[in-house]
Amino acid sequence: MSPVTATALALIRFDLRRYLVGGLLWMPASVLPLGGGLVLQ
Amino acid sequence: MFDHLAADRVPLLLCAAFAGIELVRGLTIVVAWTYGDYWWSAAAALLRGNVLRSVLIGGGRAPRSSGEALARLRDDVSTVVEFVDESVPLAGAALFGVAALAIMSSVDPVVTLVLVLPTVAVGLIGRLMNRRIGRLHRRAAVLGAAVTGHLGEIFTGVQTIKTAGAEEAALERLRRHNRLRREAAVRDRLATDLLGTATGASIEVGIGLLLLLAAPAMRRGDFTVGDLALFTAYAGWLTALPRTIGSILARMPQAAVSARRLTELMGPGEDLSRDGGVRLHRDHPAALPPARHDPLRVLRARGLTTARGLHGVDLEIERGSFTVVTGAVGAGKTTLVRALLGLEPLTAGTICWNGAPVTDPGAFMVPGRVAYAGQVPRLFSASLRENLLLGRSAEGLERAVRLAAFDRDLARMPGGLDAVVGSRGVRLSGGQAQRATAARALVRSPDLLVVDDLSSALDVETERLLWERISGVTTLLVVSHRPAVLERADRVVVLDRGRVAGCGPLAELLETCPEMRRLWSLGPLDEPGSSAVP
Repeated sequence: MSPVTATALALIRFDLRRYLVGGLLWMPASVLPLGGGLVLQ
Repeated sequence: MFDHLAADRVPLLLCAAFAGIELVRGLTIVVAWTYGDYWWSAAAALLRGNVLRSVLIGGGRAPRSSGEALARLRDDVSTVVEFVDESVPLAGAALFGVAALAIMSSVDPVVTLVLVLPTVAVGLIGRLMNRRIGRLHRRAAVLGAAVTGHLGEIFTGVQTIKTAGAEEAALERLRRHNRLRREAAVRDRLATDLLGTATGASIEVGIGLLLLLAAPAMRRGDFTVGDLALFTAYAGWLTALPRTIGSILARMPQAAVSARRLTELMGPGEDLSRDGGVRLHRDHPAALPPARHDPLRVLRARGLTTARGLHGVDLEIERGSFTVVTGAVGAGKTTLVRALLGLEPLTAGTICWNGAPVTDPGAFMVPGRVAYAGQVPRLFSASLRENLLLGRSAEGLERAVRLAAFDRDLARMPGGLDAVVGSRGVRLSGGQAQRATAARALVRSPDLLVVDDLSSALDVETERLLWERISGVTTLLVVSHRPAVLERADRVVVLDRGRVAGCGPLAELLETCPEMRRLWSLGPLDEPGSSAVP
């Protein structure tokens, strides 16, 4: 594993809760355009 | 919506739904962005904390200049954390991509494939360019650090440059560094932006192909206006996934360079991303309990060895004694006191305080027990009072100022203790700065006062007064080669290339220790006071 990958994984593990919650919060921001497109159709 | 539009009425409900979806999306982004800042700050603080811990108390290497320190701790840390931060919205973008492709494929798989192909091609090109972008970024980072480093050197050495009349030479050197940095930065930016532009252009190409392919199908009635609206709306969003992946891939070589540059500052075996705990706002750790009061009776060090030139040094300091460490340049004098204070990692040896082993000198040899006045006086741009107290209560301040033989200077100084000193205030002379450093150490009422070459900038009379006042007040461990100090010492430890060459009173050493005799004959003989010793 390259040093940057190891560092990246360690940073994710270090505050996993905040990282995952951050990802979950981005989820609706990414998925909502699906609804917008269907409404347009 | 488009497929159900009637000529005589506006679909208000669908318009409201569309606007509502966009509004909710906007609010979600604000929340996600704000929350993400906490993760970003914690991750950056972890990296900076680990590097600083390693440089200050571990086996790390300090950056060569303040400019380089800034470049590494600010820019390199940001690059690594932003690289990881890019992956946060990856899951959402992937979910959208999969769902959107499924919906579009159910409408027209061929048009869907044509819409996606340019983006996939750009992603592959980006992957191929990664190594080259890494090389360009590495060069830009090195040359950028050279400019900030040189700027820092110019500011700190401005007096030297002016007295040598080297202004033009210094500026020319800066111009040369800057020219190289500019060229490298433009190339680095150009390569990164080219990749970003290609990704953006792939959307436009995709939409162009979509229109060309959809037109005949629309004529046939196989592809509706609503389908076209759906495909056009999704085309822009579909790029989120390759854009996120592309950004991660584009940042990867840059992050690898930055991670390597940060790792270079760490000591052997130390981990850049070790979880040493990070405290954020409203998350403060409990205050450390005050050091247990165990007044110094005797400090013993045995076999102190460091990677930087100390080889099995023994030292014994009794309460109230005056011990001087002396030796030639590079003999290991400063390294010895730094090792005792835990500022230099030991590879072997033990330190005992009143017979009890000190396992972590860096945490144990702190104010309350020990105070340290280093070789180079450090004054902040603040009042003299703030510089001396550094957050402590003012109890004992006047006494410390008097003991450090700084009271007479202070009486002549406009504003006294409230005078602003340091880079943005009154410039103290070398001797005044040294005595201010001594007063800062003394105000902490240490059991053991460690001073490194304190009196090098003092005149004979001030030096005599200083040692007269602090001798006997506390236990002293002093690095010096000055006759006035050596003569006053109870015990002199002579170091030679990292080893103890002799130990005892000066008069005895001058008879028994060749290295002491050699040192004494080199310089101190012409200084006042030296004649008192045989």
